[in-house]
Amino acid sequence: MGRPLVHRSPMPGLGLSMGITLTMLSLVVLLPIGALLLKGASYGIEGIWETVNRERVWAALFLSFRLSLFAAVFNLIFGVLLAWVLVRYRFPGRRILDASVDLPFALPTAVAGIALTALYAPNGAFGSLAASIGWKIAYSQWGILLALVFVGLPFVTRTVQPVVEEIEREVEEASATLGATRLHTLRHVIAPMLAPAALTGFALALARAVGEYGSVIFIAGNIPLVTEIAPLLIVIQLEEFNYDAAAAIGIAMLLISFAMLLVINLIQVWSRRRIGYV
Amino acid sequence: MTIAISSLTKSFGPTHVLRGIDLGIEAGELVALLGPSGSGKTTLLKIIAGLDWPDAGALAVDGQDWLALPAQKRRIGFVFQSYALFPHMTVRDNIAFGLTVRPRAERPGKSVIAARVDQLLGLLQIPHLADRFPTQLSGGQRQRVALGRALAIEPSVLLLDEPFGALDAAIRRDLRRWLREVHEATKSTTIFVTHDQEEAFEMADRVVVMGEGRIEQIGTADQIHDHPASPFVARFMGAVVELPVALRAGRVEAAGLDASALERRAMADGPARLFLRPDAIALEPDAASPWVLSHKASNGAVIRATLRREDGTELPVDLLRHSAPEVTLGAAYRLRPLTGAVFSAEGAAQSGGPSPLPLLKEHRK
Repeated sequence: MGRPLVHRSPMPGLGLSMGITLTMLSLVVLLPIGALLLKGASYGIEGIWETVNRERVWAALFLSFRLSLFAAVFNLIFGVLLAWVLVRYRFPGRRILDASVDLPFALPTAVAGIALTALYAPNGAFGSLAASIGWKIAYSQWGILLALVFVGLPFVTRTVQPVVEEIEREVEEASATLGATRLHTLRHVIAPMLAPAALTGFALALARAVGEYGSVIFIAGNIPLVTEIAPLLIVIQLEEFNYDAAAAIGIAMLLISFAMLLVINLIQVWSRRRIGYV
Repeated sequence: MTIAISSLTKSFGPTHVLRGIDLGIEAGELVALLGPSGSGKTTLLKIIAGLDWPDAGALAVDGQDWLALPAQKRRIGFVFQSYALFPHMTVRDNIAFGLTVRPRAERPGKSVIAARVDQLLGLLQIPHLADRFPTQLSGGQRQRVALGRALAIEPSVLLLDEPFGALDAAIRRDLRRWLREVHEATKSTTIFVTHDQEEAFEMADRVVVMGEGRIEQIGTADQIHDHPASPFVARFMGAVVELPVALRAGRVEAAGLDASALERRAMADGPARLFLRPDAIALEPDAASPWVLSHKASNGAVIRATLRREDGTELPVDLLRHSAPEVTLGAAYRLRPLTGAVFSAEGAAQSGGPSPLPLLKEHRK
């Protein structure tokens, strides 16, 4: 009597945890992005467009997003395969291989870039082999792709691995007893079950590759219009104290990345609705 | 489809899972493979399905060598213990799967498949669930979908692995009766694996009792109940009271035992073991008997009594509360078994080996 009825959630501490989460999210993510947009706003839309609408900037943006997409596709295929092998097969050295998947996470990206360059430069161990058949890897777009594949690989493998672990072998056996060939089982039973996780991994790998800087600049050669990536262009502008131009390119990358991730998210929502699970 | 299995053996490393299985199954028969876990019954089922291969032996169905056929070509319906439904497909798509995967030339038209699925949904009594996903179903409903998916391909043989293992008792009883009806309707040769005697005897035409990779006995419920072929079967059927006895002129003798209700048997004189079910023993007051009633408890219908001998040996006896005469704690009683199985001492020691079939009298009042 007297006390108002309050609808309380059975989960304790919702208000507190919500407050902390939102504060952290604002400080860590929203504030920097807001600052970037504010900087852009002071520069004006026309100023941004003028900065971006130059051949060198378009080339860099196109290169960054194109190679990131290729690397993410490669990681999607190879990462799913790696996750499958790590879960389903027992072979000597499996645990070491499993642990080494995380190395690209842990390694400073500059170290990775230098190591890859040393190996794939024309006088390096693999680079000299490739050079003998006329294939230049380091200091070309191949080198950039290689670095982006390297840093993005763990994302797909680590998101898909637990899903592979959950698939009961009996589901595959059931498919076989019902007369499905292996290929059919793979396409119509296994692939749809892995798809949501693989797509998430793909999006993560893609996002990582777009923003990658440290490893790429060592192996890319950084020739304007050919192997110059967009993040490098931003750094160059900063070094010339041209903050407005740096912010303009940054905003352009932000918008394109946001659009791409939005599309991937929509695909996921659509596929979830279509197959009704996960 | 008649199934002929001969001399099937299978080992996983040092463990012998199947030690020579010979079994014939007639067309249209409903057979249960009954045994404790580790008896090799599921392995046998998987070999018939083509999901596992034996080390040696033969498996022929209608004269065709099935060991040369992969699972995809055997056209069997397999119902897994975990159901193994495809989680990303609706009930309808799950059931239709076996038809839609067929090569284009053999695949029925879309409308034919839809009609077949509708017919099965009716038979399974789940037409209202057609557009649900497996995660939205209860255990019993999943079981029906799994069965429907297996039946959709009109299987030559239907195989079920512990079909009701994960369900609660009431649903289990319903599904048992219902599966029996489905079998009557489809007449497909059916083999199911279970560790539950009641389930096996209630549903199957014939029960195959397995233990440690061997077939211990094949028969109907009554045959196996009354004439267990080995100490293993006797124990598995609930004859947990084991008494060392002496055989003289075909009769078993032991202190405090009145074996007059048991028939004489054609066995050599010497030491033997008598296997009794706790509910097939009557107690008669006898001051000379070494068995003393040490404990009794009633669950309403049955009095669970424990008899104790001076050396500490205890044995359980179940008495029907309303029909058995009153018993008192501390009094001595003579055991009067109504049925029982006798095996020679050597045969009883090694549980797996072949033992002579004892000649037993039917339950006497």
